[in-house]
Amino acid sequence: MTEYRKVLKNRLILLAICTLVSVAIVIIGTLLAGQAETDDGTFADGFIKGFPIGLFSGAFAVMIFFIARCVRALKSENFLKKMYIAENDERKKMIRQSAMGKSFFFTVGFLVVAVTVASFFNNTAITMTLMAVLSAHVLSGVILKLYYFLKY
Amino acid sequence: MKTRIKELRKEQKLSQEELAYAVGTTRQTITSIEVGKYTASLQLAYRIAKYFGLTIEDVFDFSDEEVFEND
Repeated sequence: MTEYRKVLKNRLILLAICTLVSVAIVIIGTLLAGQAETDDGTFADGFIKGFPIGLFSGAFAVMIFFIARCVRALKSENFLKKMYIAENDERKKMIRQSAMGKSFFFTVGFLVVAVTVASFFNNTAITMTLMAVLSAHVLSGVILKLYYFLKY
Repeated sequence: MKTRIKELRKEQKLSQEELAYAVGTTRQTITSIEVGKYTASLQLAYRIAKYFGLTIEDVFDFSDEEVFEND
């Protein structure tokens, strides 16, 4: 468990950095969206500006949850073992591998960055396409994961 | 795959949660192995058999198994 403790400590640092980055993106995005707002702006314009802000707000909430879990695990030996078992369970690993594979999170990361950049440049068609691809990619991953959870 | 895990658990009055914790897996995995939906890896099969003080063949029935099940 000593090795896993080290992993959790490193994860905690990474999560803290990602949380700060998310907060910064939400604040900057809100300020920029407010400045760019015009009277003749369409719904699509507002949507593509709001999507990354919503995405990073959601990511912030998820990261706070994981930070709380890591802190709890570092304080309680029992919870640490349970968390280790849950993360390293071979059936769960197999399901994750079957449903998402190793490239899933990289692809999601790249798409999130691409959506954020495209929305900054106010390119509605590209941003909408990337949002649709991101949503379809995540949705297919979730559906496959549910399917394999029921299968095994 | 057929197993004797449920029977052995009942004999020792052990819950799925307790067995799972002892062998380092989740309760859901034990459930899946017991109902034959999931085939345990060699390592997990060994840990389960060792926990009951038996051999893998005593706990898991390989008689009518196909070679690759988790495809």
